[in-house]
Amino acid sequence: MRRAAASLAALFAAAPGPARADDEIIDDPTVAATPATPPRPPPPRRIWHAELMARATTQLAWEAGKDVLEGRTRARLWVADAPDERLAYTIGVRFDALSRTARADGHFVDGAHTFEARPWEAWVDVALADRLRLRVGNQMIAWGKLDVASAADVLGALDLREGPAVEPEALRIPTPSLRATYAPGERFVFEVAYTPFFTPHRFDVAGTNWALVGPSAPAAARATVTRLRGSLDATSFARVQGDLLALGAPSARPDAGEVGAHATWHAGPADVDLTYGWVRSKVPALELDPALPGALAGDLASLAALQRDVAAGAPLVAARYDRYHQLALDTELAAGPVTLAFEVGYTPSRPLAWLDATGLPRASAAALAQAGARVAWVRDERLALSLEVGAFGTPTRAPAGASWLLLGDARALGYAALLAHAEPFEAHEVDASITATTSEPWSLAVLPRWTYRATESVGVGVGAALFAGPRSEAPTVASLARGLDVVYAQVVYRP
Amino acid sequence: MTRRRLPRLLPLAFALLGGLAWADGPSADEVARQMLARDAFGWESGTLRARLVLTTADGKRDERAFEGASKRAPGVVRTVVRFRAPERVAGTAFLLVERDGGQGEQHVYLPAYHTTRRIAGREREGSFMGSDFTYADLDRRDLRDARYALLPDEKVGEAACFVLETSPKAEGSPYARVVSFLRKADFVPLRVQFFAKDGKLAKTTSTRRVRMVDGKPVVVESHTENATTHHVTDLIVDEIEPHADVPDSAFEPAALERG
Repeated sequence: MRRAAASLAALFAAAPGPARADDEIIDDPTVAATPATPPRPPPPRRIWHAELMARATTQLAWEAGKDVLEGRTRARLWVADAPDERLAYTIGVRFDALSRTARADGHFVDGAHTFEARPWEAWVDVALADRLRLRVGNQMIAWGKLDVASAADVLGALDLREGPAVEPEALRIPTPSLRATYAPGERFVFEVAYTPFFTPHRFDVAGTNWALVGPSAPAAARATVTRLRGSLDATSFARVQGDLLALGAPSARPDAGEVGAHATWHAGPADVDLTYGWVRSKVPALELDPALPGALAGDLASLAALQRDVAAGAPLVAARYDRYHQLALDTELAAGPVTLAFEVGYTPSRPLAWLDATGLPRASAAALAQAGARVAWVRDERLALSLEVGAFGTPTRAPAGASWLLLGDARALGYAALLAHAEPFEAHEVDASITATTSEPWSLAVLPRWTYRATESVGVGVGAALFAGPRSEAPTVASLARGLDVVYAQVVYRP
Repeated sequence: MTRRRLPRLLPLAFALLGGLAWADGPSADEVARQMLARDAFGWESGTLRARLVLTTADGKRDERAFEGASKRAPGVVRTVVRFRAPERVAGTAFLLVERDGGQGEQHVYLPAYHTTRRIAGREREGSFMGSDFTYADLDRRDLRDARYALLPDEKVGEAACFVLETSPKAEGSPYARVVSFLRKADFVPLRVQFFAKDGKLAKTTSTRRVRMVDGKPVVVESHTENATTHHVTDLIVDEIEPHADVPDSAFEPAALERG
């Protein structure tokens, strides 16, 4: 009935679209009439964007009955303009607000509020010649074909403060970079990028749900801090925490930057990419006060030396972001109903973490090889599935008979990740990821999220993170339920 | 600018050019050749700005604005489509590469992930951005690599038309046959019917408006209705810039990231 009414209305409506006087109107009596399209000029090329996301998250599995409650609000404002195909630019800012508190023994403690405003994507992209483009400014460079662990993603800095529950658009951090793209022929593309000011991954050290020493951190890291807290007096531990918190902000100097090169060969049904990077480790390698391990072992002389260092203002923990060379080869091709991607990567020497006899993290140089594959299937933009498997391995043994963190005695780590997106009903979206690793201890993480698009601009959702492995004895449904670790509710507004 | 063979600007538009008049009835292959040759604006490169207006059977409307650019090089035609609105799809971009001999490739850039991915074969049967067009419709491989037959002439309104039946050769085609009603005067496709593998009518695309641009007839509004769901896609071209100076570098997957 409604359709019939619409058809009747269309019969008496003006010709759809911004018709011009000289347009020829085709008279086809068999065309099913629809309501006329309101005439209007094309939308402006300069588009203002805004995004607001508010999320409340809580912990349900914090040790000793302690919960972390946190509220994050993220706002992004940016304008994008592309006057023509030779020039495009964007300017954006991002604001983050965090309020958090912990609950212990029925009381809220350690409340804190932070706010930060920083430039976001802000770049100019210009075609210098027919086959040469240059992009200058704060930008994201995402090379590689794998979604979870790409060997080619050498220049990408990530925001890890919301762990695996992060929204995809909030994961990457733009970095000030200069990027040139040159296509000497129809089949080859060559890119070079220089990031003069090094930007590491961002993470919280303590106090939030996904902090390095928070409840969702690897068990080894939490054990280390627990031990540290028990071995040092309150002043020294506070100092160590302060040093740890400062690790996320190394000084930015042009000579401390990174460079990368990326070549693509369009080989018929496949793209083949070769990537090289002379880059820095995006996570810090820790250098401890020499007296710290002895102090943790209960050596009185070391304890005394440590207290002297603290009194003298010497840093107990320092961070290095060592440079290393990285090579990666990847390919992506369409094969029947799926898209396949393969990657291999190798670095002859890069810092890897290991735990010394006292349980403290150290870093030493080691070779690292990695390989991975991804298969993706998409149907009607309402269902997308992706399965990625990969492995890391090193031939280098950890010093002093220790084991590499995560790689363990086997000096290898495997992972598998299933990512899914579905829109089973109008306005309803379901996202889920299931990730398993062979780390020691092994782990399984399941992150479901449901979103309801209340309007074209507003989406509300709830999500959770469930873990098995380090916290549970076996990967059963029951163990996953016991591992329910994080639940959150969020609102996203995109006007 | 050297003019070579007639290039395509936007496959969605099914734009045809003015052309020859046939005195004594062309063969099916000749009609097909004219149709494919006129599946273009006839310029080396060009840009357009357009909208997809999606209407469900119960009258719910959704509109998506996009820009397109196309350029021909020897043996290959590249087309870039960038969506501008609504906010939920803004920044999503597609690169369609058609190579002589039927080989082609499609890439999509997803702004939320900052990554560009290839589109696989079966995905070609899927809906393009929620419209009644499939990815397979975009590269028109099913029309190019096909067997042709002429059916008895018919009229669309008052216009006399050739009726060309196209049977795609490719196994992966979503269509058993496509029937095009081509105006005899200029080979403008006034109506195109797509029949599914089961022989049933899948959808019909009808031309609503034609505009002379640079001396050539261009379809600037079409109406596509799904025969089963009665979902409708109106494609409206708001602005055309023939002979636009588009650099080759705009047609690389990496360039999709410029938004």
